[in-house]
Amino acid sequence: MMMNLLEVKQFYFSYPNQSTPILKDVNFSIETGSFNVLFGKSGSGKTTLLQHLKPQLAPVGQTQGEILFLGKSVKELSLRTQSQDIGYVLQNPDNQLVTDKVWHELAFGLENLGYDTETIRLRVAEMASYFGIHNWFDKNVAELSGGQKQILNLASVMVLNPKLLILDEPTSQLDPIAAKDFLETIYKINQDIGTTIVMTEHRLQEVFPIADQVLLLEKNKPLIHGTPKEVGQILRETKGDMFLAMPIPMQIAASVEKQGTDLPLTVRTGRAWLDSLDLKEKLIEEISPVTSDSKKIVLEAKDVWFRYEQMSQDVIKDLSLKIYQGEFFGLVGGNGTGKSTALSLLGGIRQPYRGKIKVAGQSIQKYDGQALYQNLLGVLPQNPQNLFIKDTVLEDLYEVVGGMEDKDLPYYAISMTKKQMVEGISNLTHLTHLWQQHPYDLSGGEQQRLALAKILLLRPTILLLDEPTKGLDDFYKEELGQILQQLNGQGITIVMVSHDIEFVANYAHRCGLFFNGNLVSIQPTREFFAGNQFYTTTANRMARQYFPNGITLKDVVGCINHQKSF
Amino acid sequence: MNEQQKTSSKQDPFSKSHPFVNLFYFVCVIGVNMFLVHPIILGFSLIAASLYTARLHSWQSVFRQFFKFLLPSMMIVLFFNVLFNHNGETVLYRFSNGKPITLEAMVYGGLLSVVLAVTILWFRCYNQVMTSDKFIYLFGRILPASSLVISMVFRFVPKFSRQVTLVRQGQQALGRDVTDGTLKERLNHGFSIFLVMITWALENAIDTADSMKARGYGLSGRSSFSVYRLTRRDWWLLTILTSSFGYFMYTVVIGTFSMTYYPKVQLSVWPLTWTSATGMIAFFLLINLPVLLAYVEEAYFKRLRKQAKHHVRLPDYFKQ
Amino acid sequence: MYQSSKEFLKALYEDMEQPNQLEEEATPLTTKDVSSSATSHSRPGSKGIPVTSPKKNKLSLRVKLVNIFLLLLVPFVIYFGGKLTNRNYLAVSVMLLIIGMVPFFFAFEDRKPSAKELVLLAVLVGIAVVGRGIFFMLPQFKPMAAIVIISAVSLGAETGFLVGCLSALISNMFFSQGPWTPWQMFAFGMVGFVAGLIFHRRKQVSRLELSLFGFISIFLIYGLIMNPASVIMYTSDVTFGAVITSFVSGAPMDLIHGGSTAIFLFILADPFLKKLERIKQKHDII
Repeated sequence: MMMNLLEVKQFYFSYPNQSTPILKDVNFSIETGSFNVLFGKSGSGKTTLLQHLKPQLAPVGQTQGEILFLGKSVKELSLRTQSQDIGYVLQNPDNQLVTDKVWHELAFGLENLGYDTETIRLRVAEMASYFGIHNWFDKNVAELSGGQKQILNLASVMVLNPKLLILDEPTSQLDPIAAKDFLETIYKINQDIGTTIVMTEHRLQEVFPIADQVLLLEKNKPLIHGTPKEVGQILRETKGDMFLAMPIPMQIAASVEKQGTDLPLTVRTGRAWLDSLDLKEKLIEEISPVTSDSKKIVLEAKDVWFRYEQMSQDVIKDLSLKIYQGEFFGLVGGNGTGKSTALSLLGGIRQPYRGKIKVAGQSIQKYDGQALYQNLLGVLPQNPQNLFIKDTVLEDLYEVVGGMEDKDLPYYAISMTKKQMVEGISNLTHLTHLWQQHPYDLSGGEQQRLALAKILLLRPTILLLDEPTKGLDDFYKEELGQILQQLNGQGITIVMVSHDIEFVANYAHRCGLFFNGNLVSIQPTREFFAGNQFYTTTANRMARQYFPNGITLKDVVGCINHQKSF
Repeated sequence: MNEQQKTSSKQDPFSKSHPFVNLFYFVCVIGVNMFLVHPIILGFSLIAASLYTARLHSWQSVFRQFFKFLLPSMMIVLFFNVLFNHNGETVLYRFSNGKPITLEAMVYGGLLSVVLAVTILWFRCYNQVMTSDKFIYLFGRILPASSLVISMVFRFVPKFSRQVTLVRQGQQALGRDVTDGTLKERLNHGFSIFLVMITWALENAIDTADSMKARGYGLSGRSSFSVYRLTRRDWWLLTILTSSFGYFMYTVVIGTFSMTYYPKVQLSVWPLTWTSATGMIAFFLLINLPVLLAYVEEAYFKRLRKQAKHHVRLPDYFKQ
Repeated sequence: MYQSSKEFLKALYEDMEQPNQLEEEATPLTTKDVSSSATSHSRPGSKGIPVTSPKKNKLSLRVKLVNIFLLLLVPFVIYFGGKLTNRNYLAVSVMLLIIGMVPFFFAFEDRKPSAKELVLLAVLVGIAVVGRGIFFMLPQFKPMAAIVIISAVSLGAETGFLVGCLSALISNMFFSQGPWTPWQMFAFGMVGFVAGLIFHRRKQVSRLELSLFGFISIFLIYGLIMNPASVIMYTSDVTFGAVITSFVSGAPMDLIHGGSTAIFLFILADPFLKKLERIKQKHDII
């Protein structure tokens, strides 16, 4: 029997000034050469646990129990051994880069460990070749894409040849394609080099099929671990709410079958499972979407062209788009197709060089900044942190409406006081319990809600959102989705740009596919996804031969239940 | 944004040589230029600086800079010198308070204004050749922590600039762009953007520190890696630079290029002697080294191309 | 929950949507009166901004020796620098500037700064360099001096010097390097150094004092170095009259620079120092 690389025994941890430990009686072991995925809601202590595996990075606080690395307590490992044997990749690709040049970044760790120039040269060359960095070896890191940056972070950790590689949500800031590439690289490292991997990830869909062991960490509950299928099974039996994070095929199968242990993890096995059910084809009757003709147009782009600089290429080419009052419009498409640019044009952040943008029937240029963004247009930036200015959530909310004093402001001619307004918005966006926190101490989903709350305080009637689900786990996504639905119910028009097909399929009324600077199709959501072969939801890809227009998990489960009973 | 990142149309082989060679060259050239006010040396320096700047950028930009920036500042320097320097015996004009304007002061002021212009041209070349990573490399050995800080700043500046744009867009969408409202409001909007930016920068910096620690920063015995290697050619260049600079300095120290301006302008270099002539040749070689190097390399490649053409011309029967 | 939020939204958008809603008191009040506690939290400190002081580092023998050597070098430089060229003022002053800056850098290296200190320093310098671009609509409004002063108040005189020095150096690397670089480095460095000496040890700093200091320091430290610098650089003979004239001709620029620094400090010192304080506390960098 091989020695386990890592053993965590009865581990407890609590932050200073906090009575209840955040990690409680954690027990698990990691086999040498295995691929492990840790998941759980945000706030469950995943990052804290990972940091304790590399005590250099561990936060201050009280610990109990022990963590053994190759049979030796990690705390006794010298800093040198820790740096060399335990690699750690963080969430944000941008923040981890230390130096300005790619080659220097790769060499940084080796320099710290004091290797001589010849050794560094060789190791760096090796790593650059393995990760395909040699093509951009001489570049400044500022010129790299997000995906390249994260690969560089990975490479500059791997250059130390660690035995254990820890990754903390490494793909959350990447677009789907870059994320997939990154995960494949991790898998390749695991397979080719045999490096043991421990990672947290919320794209479970993609890592579940390749993981040897998955670990579920929940607040105040013992850690569950086992193979992906075992854990899925446990979650189904205990009806844990983390089941929501499981791969869609698994969720579909589990919500239909009452027992059975062989839950499918991928679309392929999911299809095989469906085939075994002997189903008949069925179309879902549409519960009529927004009938667009009768509605008022609130936002319109007419033959819009845009490029960043005079000499550069057109980013938006002859775009025409009408947004109707009260609808929820999803703009999807690949990376770099211009959808975010399109949104910034609609939001008046940038101006087209040809064509017209009309807001509420009037050209956007006729508005001055304050009239446009107060009571009319709300634009949520991609990074919520771009809006945070004060030291507590509450101050930050009041900051939008000009402080706490109840002065009359032009956009405040309503019967509500500022206090009522801030409280109401906080309730809506579930921020009330976080009022005294620092905005940067919030989790990603909470930060997103705070940014949304700030925008909402200006009472927009049209809300433009740029990738609002980026980096959010499934719970935060659902929470956000519900808030957006409430706003939508109030008659607020929502336009959202997203890579997140599943989210769009769940909430949008109409969808448009953006490609090469223009919209190639606009259709009601169901028809839109049903019509696409590849660019569609997992549920649809899995079940389309039986239910061509079933696009969400609920659709498919409903259809199966309709025909079958277990 | 950064001048260093613009690439010129022509190749400059000197930029590709070892950073130490680059630094040594610029220290010599700029030092001589600033401290040795001598018309002939200055003339040489002016020509060489213009040639090299034109090579790195273009003649057009040299002229543009000359007329837009250099000429006015030269006038100011000249004016200032003539006004405050009353040495010299050839009086051209006398103010009512008895202070004279002298020919000698005018000559010296004129020379100083040329010094200014040439210095600025040399610094322009310096900016283009001595990129940040070369600078960091050179100081990395003596001042490892400080040079790492500089490297990090070079990492942060583009990142922050991008962030400023994003923050500005975010604030714009709250109706608070720096172009919205009265002057006071604009200023306040500027401050808001700035505050959002610094909060972001400070809070996110902790990740960077973690990433450094995780990769062992702070262990004893840190080494310093670079992609630069002293090649044979670098040694040759260094030899040429040190010997020409050494010989030139020798001629300077023995007084070949000494010059007195007051009470009367006197040049010691004329009539030409063996030492002054060879000193000038050495100086010429020193300051024109990058341009000469470029010419040599171009000629070499031209020859190579010719040879290659020769080889490629196949006998006619292959074409059938 | 949902019910109340829905009603709240209706009330919020009352004048836009359906004109009359029945209930006026639709506001969901589930929380107690927090505004009072929040007010005390948010009021910018008229009393002053708390600043924590660091521990004192001892210099190692090596650095002490270097410093003694540099000190001995000074008379030597003054004597021989004057003989070497016909621009003795320039030669001597540039060498003295370099001798003046070296000890700070050696002391910094000697201290073996931690990763967090390095990053913090780099961030502050980065902000100082980029800050210029934010106020592009007001070309004379350069926040560099203010940021250097704030850094010095929060992190001490030595760090203040480094932030000033490096900001000037790197800013010139991005814009244009010139003969003025060493002077600017030293001038901004000294602004930081003096600010640190005066304010860093105090427990509380008022923003009025800071902005006053900002204004004065531009005249008495920055101007005192940069104005004669132009005389030394561009004229043959450094006379008293020329130096005075340089001060007079530099005064309008200094006035704008000092004024903008003062405004900047008055408005930003408070929140900026708080944010720095939070980072220092949270990640125990002292």
